Parts: sequence; C-alpha cells; structure tokens
Amino acid sequence: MSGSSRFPSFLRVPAQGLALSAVAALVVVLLDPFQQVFAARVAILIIVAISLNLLISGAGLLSLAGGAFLGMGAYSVTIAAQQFSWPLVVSIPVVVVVTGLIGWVLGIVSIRVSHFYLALTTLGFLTLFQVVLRYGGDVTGASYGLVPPLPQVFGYTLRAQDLAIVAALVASFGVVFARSFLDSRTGLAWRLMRESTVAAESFGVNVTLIRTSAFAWTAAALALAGSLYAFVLGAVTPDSFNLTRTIDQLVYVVVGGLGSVAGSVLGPLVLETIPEVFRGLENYREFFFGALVLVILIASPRGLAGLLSDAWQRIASPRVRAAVRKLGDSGLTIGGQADPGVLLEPLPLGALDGVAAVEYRGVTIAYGGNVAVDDLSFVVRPGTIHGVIGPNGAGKTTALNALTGQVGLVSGQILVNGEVVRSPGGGVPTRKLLRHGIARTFQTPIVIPDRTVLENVKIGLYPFGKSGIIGGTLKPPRVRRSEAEAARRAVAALELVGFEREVSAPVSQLSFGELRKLEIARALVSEPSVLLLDEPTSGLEPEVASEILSMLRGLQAKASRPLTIIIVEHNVPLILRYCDDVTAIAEGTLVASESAATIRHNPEVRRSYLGEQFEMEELEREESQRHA
Amino acid sequence: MLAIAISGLASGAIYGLLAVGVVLIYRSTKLVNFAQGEVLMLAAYVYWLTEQRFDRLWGVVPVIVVGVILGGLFFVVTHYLIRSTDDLTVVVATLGISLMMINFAQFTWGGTARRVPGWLTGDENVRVGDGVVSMNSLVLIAIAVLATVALDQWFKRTVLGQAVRAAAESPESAALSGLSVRRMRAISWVIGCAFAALSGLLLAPEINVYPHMAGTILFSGFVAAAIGGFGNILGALVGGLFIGLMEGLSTVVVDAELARLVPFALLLAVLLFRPTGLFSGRALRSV
Amino acid sequence: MLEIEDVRAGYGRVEVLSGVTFSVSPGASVGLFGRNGAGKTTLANTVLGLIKARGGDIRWDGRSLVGMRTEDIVKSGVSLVPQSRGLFLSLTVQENLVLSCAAWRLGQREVNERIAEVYRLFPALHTRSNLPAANLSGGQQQMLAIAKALIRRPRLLILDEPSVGLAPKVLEELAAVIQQLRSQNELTVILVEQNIKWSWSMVDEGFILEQGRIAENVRGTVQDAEMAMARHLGVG
Repeated sequence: MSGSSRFPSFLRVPAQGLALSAVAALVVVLLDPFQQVFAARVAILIIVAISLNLLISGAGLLSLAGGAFLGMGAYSVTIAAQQFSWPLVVSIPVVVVVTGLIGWVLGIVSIRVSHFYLALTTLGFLTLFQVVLRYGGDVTGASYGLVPPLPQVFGYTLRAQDLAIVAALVASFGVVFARSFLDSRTGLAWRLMRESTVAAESFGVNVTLIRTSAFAWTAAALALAGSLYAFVLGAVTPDSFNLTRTIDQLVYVVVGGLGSVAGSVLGPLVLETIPEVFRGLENYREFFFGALVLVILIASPRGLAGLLSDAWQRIASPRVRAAVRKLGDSGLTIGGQADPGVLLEPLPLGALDGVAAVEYRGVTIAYGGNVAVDDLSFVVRPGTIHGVIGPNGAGKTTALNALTGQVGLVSGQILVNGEVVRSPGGGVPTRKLLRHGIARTFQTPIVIPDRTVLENVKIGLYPFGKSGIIGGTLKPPRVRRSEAEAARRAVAALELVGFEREVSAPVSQLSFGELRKLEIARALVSEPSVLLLDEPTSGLEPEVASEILSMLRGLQAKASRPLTIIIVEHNVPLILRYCDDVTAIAEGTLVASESAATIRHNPEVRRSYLGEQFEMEELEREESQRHA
Repeated sequence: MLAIAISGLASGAIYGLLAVGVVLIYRSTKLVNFAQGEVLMLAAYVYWLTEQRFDRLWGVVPVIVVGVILGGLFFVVTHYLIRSTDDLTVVVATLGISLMMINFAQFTWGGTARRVPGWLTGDENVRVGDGVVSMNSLVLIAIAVLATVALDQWFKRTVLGQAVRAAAESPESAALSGLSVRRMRAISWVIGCAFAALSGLLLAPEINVYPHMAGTILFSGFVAAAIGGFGNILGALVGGLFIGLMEGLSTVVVDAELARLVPFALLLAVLLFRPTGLFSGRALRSV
Repeated sequence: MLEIEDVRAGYGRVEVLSGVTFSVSPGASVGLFGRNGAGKTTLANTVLGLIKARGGDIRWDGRSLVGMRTEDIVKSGVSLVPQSRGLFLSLTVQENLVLSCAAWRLGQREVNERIAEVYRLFPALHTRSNLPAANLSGGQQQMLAIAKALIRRPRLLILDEPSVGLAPKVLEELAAVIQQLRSQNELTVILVEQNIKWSWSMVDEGFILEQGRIAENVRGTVQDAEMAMARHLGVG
C-alpha cells in the first residue's frame, strides 16, 4: 500500500492507459498489414464489447441497439468526409457527441420498460435505423452503402498500421477507463441500481438519470468505435449494422464474460481469432464457432473470463495475484490524503428540539382494494430507539415503506423533524431522503455483490460526493481526496457498528450478521438523524441479534448528532429489552404506543399475538348471553 | 387483392406457429429459444429428404419426430448443461446452437434451394379473386389454426395439458401436487419444437428449402408473441396472422421493401400503445 | 414415523433453522408453534424438499428425505398444505383435485373413487366442483387445499397455518375436519400454527420453535400451551 505513494496517484489511470496502449501498439507494429487490419477490427470489437458489457451488466439494461449506434458512427463520419469534406478531427468528436445525445433520447423513451420489452424497444430503434439507411437515397447509399474516402489527418493518409494503432489505443484506454469507472462512485451506483432500484434510490441515486446517461455514454462509445470501423471496413453498408451483427456483439460479450472487462477483451479476441484458425475448414467455420460458443458457456457460465479467473486462482500464488491486482487497480486506497470535512457536500441537518423525530398522523394506506394501514398515528421521540411490532401482515413494513416513498398515502401525513415528508399528494422523493437525514436498511440486505465492504459502505455517501462519470473515471486529485474522505468516514462507520473484518474483504465472504452490520454502517455513514431498520435481526442467531441491538443502543451515545432509530421487528423480547418506546400494530391499526416497560403488560398487545379468535369467541359468547 | 391477403395470412400463420412454440417454451421455462427458426429449417430438410424417397404424405412423421428430438435436446442442454442462472447466457447458447444448425445444413446439403411439393396438396394452385394462390397456403392456414386451437384446448381440457400449465404458473404448487416440474418443462420444449417443425413442413413448399430460410421469420414470430402478450397462444397466432396480413397488404399499398418493415412497425406500435400485448391481462413489470 | 434430526436450513446466507430436532410417532397429531419468522414454514418446506437442508437429517419411515425431489417426497406419502394454499386458481375444483392425482397413473375408476371420498369430507366442495378455484371463498379454498393433499392418501400431512384469515364459523368446520382426519390411525398430522387456542384440541402435544430450534415441548391444557407461547413471545 505504501509502495504506491511514490507514484502520484492521480496519474495512475492515464499511466495505465498509456502503458497498455504502448504494449498494444508494439504488438500491432510487429504484424503484417493483413494482420493489422484484423487487429484493428478486433480492437474495435473490444471497444464495442466493453461498452455493451457495462450497459448490460453494469446498469442492467439489455439493449439491442448496438448495431445502430455503431452504424451511426460509421455512416456519419463517412458522410461528413464524403459529402461535406469535414476533417476527421472535427467530424469524429461531433459524431460522438451527437450520437450520445441520440442515445440519451433512446434512454428516455425506454425508461419504464423492463428487461425483455427493453430489448424489444431497442430492437425497434435498430430497425428504424435500418429503414433510414435503406431509404436514405443518395445520402446513405441505400442498400449499397457508401465508400468512405481514405482517412486523412492533417494531410497524412492513415495506413492499416496507423488505423490499427489508433484502434488499439482507444481500446486500451477503453479497458483502463472501464475498470476505473466500475470502481468509481457512479460505477458503484450503476451496480447498486442493477441489484435493486429501491435500494439505489434510497441512497440518493437518480435512477432515471443513470439509465439515460448509461444509454448516452454507450451510444457515444459505440459511435467512436463506428467511426474507426468505417475505415477499417473500407465500406459501410446496412448489412454491417443489422440485427445479426448486433447479436454477434452480444455473443462476444456473453462468451467473454458478462460483468468482466477482461472478458470483453478475451471474447472478441478468442472468437475472432479461432475462426481464422478454422479458415482451412471454411465450410465448417460457423459450425465450430457455434460449437465453441456452446462449449464455453457450458464449461463456464461466466464465460471466458470465468474460466480464466478459475485457472488464475489455481495457478498463481496469492502474492502474485495481489501484485497483479495492484497494478490494475485505480489506486483508491485508504491511506490516501484525506481532508476531514472537505470536498464532500454538507451533510443533512439534525433533529430540532422539542419536535418529534417522526410522527405518523392519521396515516391510511390502501392498495388493491385492501386497507393495509388504517388511521395510524404515533409519535417517535427524538434520540430514542423506537420499536414497531405486530403480527404478520399487520402493516408494519407497509407503514415503513410509506415513509420511504415506496407506497402512497390515501390520507394522513408523515412528518420527520417537524417537516411533512409524506402526504396524499406525494412527498419527498425516495432519492432525496438521505439529504433529509433519513436512512434505512432492508429486510434482506441489498449489497453490490462483487465489491468490497468499503465500497459498499462508501455508497452510503453517494449524494454527497462530487464526481460524475468523467471525474469518477479519470480520478483527478480532487476526486481522490473526496473518495479518500468518504473512505475514512466509511471506516469510522464500520468501527461504530463493531464490524470486525478487513474493509477490503469482498462482501461475498461475509456472514449474514456481518452483512447486516454493513448495511447499518452504510446507513450511518451519512450521519442521518433518523435511521430506519427493517427487521434487522431476522435470520440472525440470538447472540448476534442481541449484539446488534445493544450496539444500536450504544450508538446514540456515540453519535455526534441526535440519532433516532426506528426498528420494525418480529422479535418482541429483543425489542422490549433494547427499545425505549414501542408501537404495536395489528391488522393495519394501532394497538398501543407506549414505553417498552409498560407495553409488555398491555393485554391488547398480548391478544393481538395470541389470536384474535380468543377475543372474538368471548365477544360472541357475551353477545349470545345478552340476547338469551 | 384477395390472393395477396391469403398469401399474407399464410406467412402470418407461420409466424403464429413459431410464436406459439416460443410462448410455450417461455412460459414454462422463462427462456427465449432463438433457435426456433432453425428447428423449422431442419424439419423442412427432413421433409425434403423424406419426400424424395417416400410418399410425401408420410413426411409429417419424421418431421414431427425431428421436432420432438430437437426439443428434447434443447431441454437437456438448457436445463442440465448450462449452469448459468442468467437468461441472457442461455439465450446466447441457443444462438450458438442455431449457428451450428445453419452451418450443418449448409455443409451437408449445400446452399441450393430445394423445391418441395406441398405436403397434402402437391403443387396445385387455385384461383382466388383475380389472383392465384397455392393450395398449400390454404392448407397451411387451416392447419395452423387447427393445431393452435387444438393445443389451446389441450391445455384447457386435458389433465396433462393442465399439468403443464400448472407447472409453468406455479412450480412449487405443482411439485407439492406431485407433478414433476422437470418433466413438464421437457414436454413444453418438445411441443414447442414440434410446432416449429410443423411450420417447417408447411412453409417449405412456399419458399423452398435452404439453410437460411428462417431468416427474419423468427423475428416476426417474436413480434407476434409480443402482440399476444407473451402469454396467450391463441393471441400469438392471431398476432402472427395479423402481421402477415399487414405485410401482404403493404406490398400492394406501399412497396415490397417497405413491407418488410411491417413487423417492426407493429412492434413499435405494440410497445408504445399496449406493452402488455393485446390479449394478456398480465401486468408489465418495470425494473 | 417422522424423525427430524439437527436440521439446518435457510435462504441464501440466512440460517433460519439452526438445529431442529424432534420426532413424531406414527398416527400422532402434533402442533408446531412459534412466532412469525421463527422458521415454522421454513421447516415445513424443508421437509418437503422445497428448501434444501444444509445439515442434519429428515427421516420418514426410516428413509432419508434430504436431497430428494419434492415430487418424489410427495409420492412417498408426505403431503403439505402450504400457507399459500397451493391452488391452481384458473382451474376448477374438480380439475385441481384430478391434477393432484395425475402423477399416479391411477385408473379412471380409482380417481373417481378418491374424488368421491374427498367430496364426502368436504360437501361444500362437491356443490362447487365446477367453479374455478379463484371464485371460492377463503374457507373453501382452504378446504380445497386440504382436499388436494388428502386425495393422495398421504401418511404424513403437514398443514401450514390453515387458520389464517378464516372466520370463526369456518374455523369450527375446519377443526371438525381435522379431528376426523386425526381419527384415521394411519395418518400422522403436523399442524403448524400461531393460533394455539384453536389448534390445541386437535393435537396431542406441541413443539415451540424459537430462534431456529425447538425450545419447548408442551403437553397439558391449552392454558399451559398459551403461557408457554407467551413466554417465548415475551408478552407474558
């Protein structure tokens, strides 16, 4: 860790890019011209694969419009050169930006659409593109396409080698940027969004914005690849950018390995090279190609990257693996220069004196014709731990979800620190809750699966970070300091909850109890004034459950600002032991809301747990006796 | 005009048959079979081979058998061999298989288009209105409708059909009722591919048999399935017929090139106006 | 005889059952009680193989059920009436019943016999045999769910919270049916419930599941049982 301090960390990412480019360029120079064209094609396919991979496995969006954006880049640059004589240094950036904007539009169009239908929508877009091409007359060359003029930069005509080097350069930087992006604040937000949009929104992620920007950036990257592709191909025709080609792109991504940048390099490399090997068996090429795809996917569901990573785990020693990992990481280590209080936007305000931390006033929630919560009113005193209990289906979680915006109110209000956050018309959108000082955990922990503990806690500060996609990828000093500060706070939050593992441990290694603690740390890292816990002890062994609850008790003493904790739970004994006040709900209505000490003896509460039938039979008996 | 309409409906019937198979497999296994078109193609070749040696009427037997075998193979590969839980991965695997199938046909039988007579009707044509259509296309439409309605009734009225449906809708309840969910899925694959094979038998006389014959037909099949809401096999057939009819009419009203875009246009229309399809009552889940 | 030995099970990383041990003699009727989230349904699902046990053993008639497919466990004489009732809502009452026999290639006569048997037990279903299951009331759906389980003539019947959402009158009828089942010597019954008061008359003893283990074995009066439960709930 200290070794990297010799090298200015903010140069890491550009340096990695240059190093990889140099290696790639060297390889290209050693090839013969025919191979160089091949290399250029592979490099371009790598760019395409990486972009699609990020979109599909990073953001969870299955798009079949790949061919369209690639084609837009290719055709636009060709038309610009052929018909308007624009120099490449001008046309390429313009094309990339304009295509990015078109991608943005596609993102907006497909906002509410789910997985399979999203694929169909993007397919529709691809078709539209094909229509435009085929009916473009002289502008697009219709079905015959166009022939781009020789690529020229400042009078110098690019040869195969030059094209290949440029493509290799772009691909190399693409690889480095993609890996760096995945570690960044926005990259993590994409991944969290893929796991659960609710969780992402709870931590301030603007899901709509992310989806549209994911489309936009992918379109831009594809357009860049496309502009190079035009010259590598030597001609642009509609058939190069049709459904079949788009499916090929997907095959490369999946066979390479969804979710793996290395896979997106391997996929095109292997799948383009091997058929060259089969060239002798020209007639059987496609057969073997198809068989290859099948065999790879059977052998390893995570594709080539999966195979490679398994082999790597087995062959390389831990030290070698650690060294390689260090070479490749973008250097967001904990030891970086942290500046307390700087470079993060201000954290939310705390509780006000004399005002209830949370208040439900006559809250009624209904859906599907059922009244889930009926005229619920109770108050949570600031700085207390407040338990919410009730039998199954009582409406506890629904009431909680109303506060966080997953469910709407039919009538009533919910106030936090005196401010109305939820009313029948609407309220504070879920993604703004963190800024209002309201944080939550989930019934089943929702974490970003292949990331570390630290990254999963840092995401709790997402709304307070200062980097977007570009900043996150390039990681200039500013961003590094901000991330270092976020890391520092994340570590502090983990210590607060008594988390004992190394923060660089991957979350897949955590036990359930540790996951629960991680979720709490993630919620605490933004120093909220209200912490909502949804069944934090379910699934935990009794010792761990008690440990967590007593930790929560201790938090309030340690927290720098008044912290109010609301726990929705089934485990009544634990609630009674650790909470100050308790609200009991049954069948959507309030049964009681008093201090833990007195509620324990409340007969109504007892009844609601042991069976209403008892009470009803008694009532019926009384009734019949009265009429007798 | 009538002739064009009928020939359009005939194409549409094929889309519908493919869509029925796709929908059936999807509902049962949540997987989309991208090699459905290639099943059609191989079945067409089998018919051609049979027709050369035996009476063409017998052709239906090996055709259906091929469909059944392929269905079984797909089931084995997707259920047992591909251990990924990611649907996209399995879909790509079926794409790999489809590539293999196309190439296999290519190097085994060459790329020349093979002519085959209509299964029941030979090469007879019939005058309709002021045009001519092949008898086969009429038979095609009739068989497609009959087969789909029969399948629908099978699902609704027979115990086995209900069992397959039940296993698709709630695998846990089905297992608790003593049904083998695995077997139900295998049956769905087999029937789905049998339908694709049947469509190969019926389509071959119209466009001849060649390795890439399925081409864009499967895509229209997907659109038909989407129109049917991806849940309803009768809806899928109607969707297919509708697409075919629209395509046919477009060749007259507009031009042939533009007519090829009809399925896409309909897809866009469905997505914009009725994303849940015209027939299914199912809600569209958004991410 | 059902023997459950040190069974561990859960979902993903969550361990819900951390070593459940108890046994039920042939022909006995026992209750499995516990608060929400204690793992009662998880245990029922694990016995039926819907959830894979991660440790321990479940033996029925001396044969281990762990690792067997659910449909095979059902075929060996174990039936579960799940909390969700497990009905095929788009099918009629009759179709639901027939489907539950479908796996056994019984002759038509045998099937009719069994259906008649079940209709005798649940006359309300008989009059509604052509109604889609979705149109039945809550109580009738519960009856149908039990009928579906019974039509296979199981030797072990597990009912997961059958009383939920039912009106008092219906609960009475249901209790009567279960009592009738109890009188069948070959049938072992496990009643998974939160409502002790209603369940107690139908069982010989009760096991309280708490924090993934059997915390207590209760016999005696219904008050004894309720007090034990209250103690574990923390509200007594």
